Amino acid sequence: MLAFLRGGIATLIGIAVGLALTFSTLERGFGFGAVRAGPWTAWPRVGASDIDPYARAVLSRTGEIPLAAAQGIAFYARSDDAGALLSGACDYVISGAVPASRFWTLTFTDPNGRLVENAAHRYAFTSAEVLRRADNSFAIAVAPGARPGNWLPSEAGARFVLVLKLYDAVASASPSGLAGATTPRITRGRCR
Amino acid sequence: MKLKDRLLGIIPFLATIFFVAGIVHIVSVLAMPAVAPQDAVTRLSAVAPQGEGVVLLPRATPGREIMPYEDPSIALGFCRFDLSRGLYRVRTNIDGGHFIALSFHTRSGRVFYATTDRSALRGKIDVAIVNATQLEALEANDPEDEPAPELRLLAPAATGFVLVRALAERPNELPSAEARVTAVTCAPDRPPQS
Repeated sequence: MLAFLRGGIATLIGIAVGLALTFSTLERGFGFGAVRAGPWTAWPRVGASDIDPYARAVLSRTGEIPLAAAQGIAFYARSDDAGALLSGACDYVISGAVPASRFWTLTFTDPNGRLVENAAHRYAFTSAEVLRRADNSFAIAVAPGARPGNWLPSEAGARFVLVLKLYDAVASASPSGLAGATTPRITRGRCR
Repeated sequence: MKLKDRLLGIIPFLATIFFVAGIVHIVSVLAMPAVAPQDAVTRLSAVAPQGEGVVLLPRATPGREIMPYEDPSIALGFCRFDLSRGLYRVRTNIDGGHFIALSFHTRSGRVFYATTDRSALRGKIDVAIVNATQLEALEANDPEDEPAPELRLLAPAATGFVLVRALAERPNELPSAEARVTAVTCAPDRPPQS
């Protein structure tokens, strides 16, 4: 009787531990196969047919439909070049080069991937509309208050995520080509 | 001695916990696509519960997105297929240089094929989603010495969806990007009788 009771308790604890383990791993994101380039991270296999079971479970929970590997690749940044989390309390400048692609877009979202309302109704920049310097380089200011030139409004005081999507990216077919790709710098400016 | 006995006695208890936790973890991860209440298919179905043609999704603006990390520069649409009602044809013409991308997903979310306008042949994308029986029926009717008129995709599952993405390079081009999404024709098709 006692052995039976102990077996039952052990099983219940096991179920709880197993579910907790699932929950905590899925909360941490796609996990396997991450490719890092500066402050940006991409998960190229998430859009491929050999997607791993963890990434599939994450996608089914969030409802996101990733870009397929043959179409492009998405890079996500939650922190700046120095490793500090992106915050609407600070100003940032995104500058430099974007990995070779036909088009790219840079989108501002909250930590859950939702767009954030702002007075300018500006949520993203595309490669076609961004203003460039004479040498073809660009700089986008991310700040809560209006800036001259390319300005992507942030939400004062709130954490945010920047998403760089490359469409028809040259390297998206080969994850190894993405590692160390020249991605834009995210430089922190003044904080309030 | 007594302490040692107690420690030995607890080993089966811990082993049971580890064993059960491992199984529950693996099963729950694998089962998640089947049981998740807010997966992509559920979200798409909420926009258009019925219909076999292409459905244009609302523009991605704050509070009106269907999915997380939507790109506000992309017009999105989808078609759903069910091969039990016949093979499914997806076609669109490509007009110069505008980005349009199709991805083919099983109901559980796995991408089994994807393409963009850049890899279109003769100015069009022409795809037939088929199962093995439908593929045989198509091939039995093929004229000899001629390439198949369309790309035939053997679907790993009987049901799924096709996601259409068209890029608006500037915000004022969203209406024409949406027109390119709705210009995609999706329809079930009975295989030719042999």
